[in-house]
Amino acid sequence: MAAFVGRATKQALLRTKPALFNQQATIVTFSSKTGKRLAWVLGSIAIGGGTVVATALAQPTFASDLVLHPPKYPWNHNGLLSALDHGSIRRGYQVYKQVCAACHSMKFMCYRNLVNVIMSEEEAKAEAEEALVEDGPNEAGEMFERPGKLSDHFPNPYKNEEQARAANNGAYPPDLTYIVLARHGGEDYIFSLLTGYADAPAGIKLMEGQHYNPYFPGGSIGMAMALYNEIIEYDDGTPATQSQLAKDVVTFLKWAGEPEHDTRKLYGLRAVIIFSFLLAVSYYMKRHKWSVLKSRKLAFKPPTYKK
Amino acid sequence: MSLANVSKTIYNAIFRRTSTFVLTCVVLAYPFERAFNTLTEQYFRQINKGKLYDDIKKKPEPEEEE
Repeated sequence: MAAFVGRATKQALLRTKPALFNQQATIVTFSSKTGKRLAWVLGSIAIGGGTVVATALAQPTFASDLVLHPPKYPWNHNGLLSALDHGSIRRGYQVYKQVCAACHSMKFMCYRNLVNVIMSEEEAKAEAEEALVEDGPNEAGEMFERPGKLSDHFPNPYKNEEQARAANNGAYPPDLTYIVLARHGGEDYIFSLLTGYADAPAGIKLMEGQHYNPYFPGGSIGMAMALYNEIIEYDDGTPATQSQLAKDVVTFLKWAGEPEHDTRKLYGLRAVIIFSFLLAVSYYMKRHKWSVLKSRKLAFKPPTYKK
Repeated sequence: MSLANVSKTIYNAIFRRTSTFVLTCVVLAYPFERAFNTLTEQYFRQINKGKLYDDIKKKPEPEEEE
């Protein structure tokens, strides 16, 4: 199509040249052929533009589109080779344990997962022992509670989903283990949600027990703002501002969702090095093997017939 | 020993026969992987200094505020 347009315009330009000194000749040369081409070009543009507009108008609009999209934050684990900040994960675990764990479960995480990631084995054991875990049945057929072990999962704040809903005004606090992977926007979304609470704008009515958060689809969220400045005190003395708490807990949740994060990036580095070497070798081998075929010459010798 | 001589010796000793070639691959794979893994991990640790568990072990240190 571009070639056709080019050709048509070129010809039109060529034809207008004589007009400078002979108007009549131009009128004569503007034959029906050129007119047809012009019609074709204009027609194609109209049809193409119409198709674009029609496609754009036919796109459905979802209610979930009308939500405030979180900005992109410069997480310090962004990048091909950047590991997670384990100091931040450790602080984030503290935030989860002291704030989030009151309502949110992390049922796929075990205390053993913390070992050599944010704490030593002894620390993790002590951490596990703080929790009471239901175990059993014992000889009498009864369930009993015991201090947690490294192999135990994080304790659930509620016995089941129904109890969680009953305690939270019908809203179910989602399990947080894979939450960063489970939400559009990932870390940016969670961070924005945690720090983005605002007063409901005029015209928006919230039901009882609901709060306004522009980042939450629909705007009204069952969870109240959970993080405030100095709500907890960090082990390592980092000032516990709201955004610091949010950043740390999001880093912790990122690690919980992708515990293989650092290893994956290291293996990626190795794979890139090895495969680029192999690529170079295969390229060389291809050139080597094809050189015979590429440099050969075929000659046609017409057979000579005896007459 | 000239360069041509060296490559000739290597060719005769290793590449010429499939048996010696395969044996060389198998034998060299172990030290290569040890060295390669160590080097890449060292590099990874170097560019992520201060963020890994080994850096926060024992003495959790305050770092980078946002």
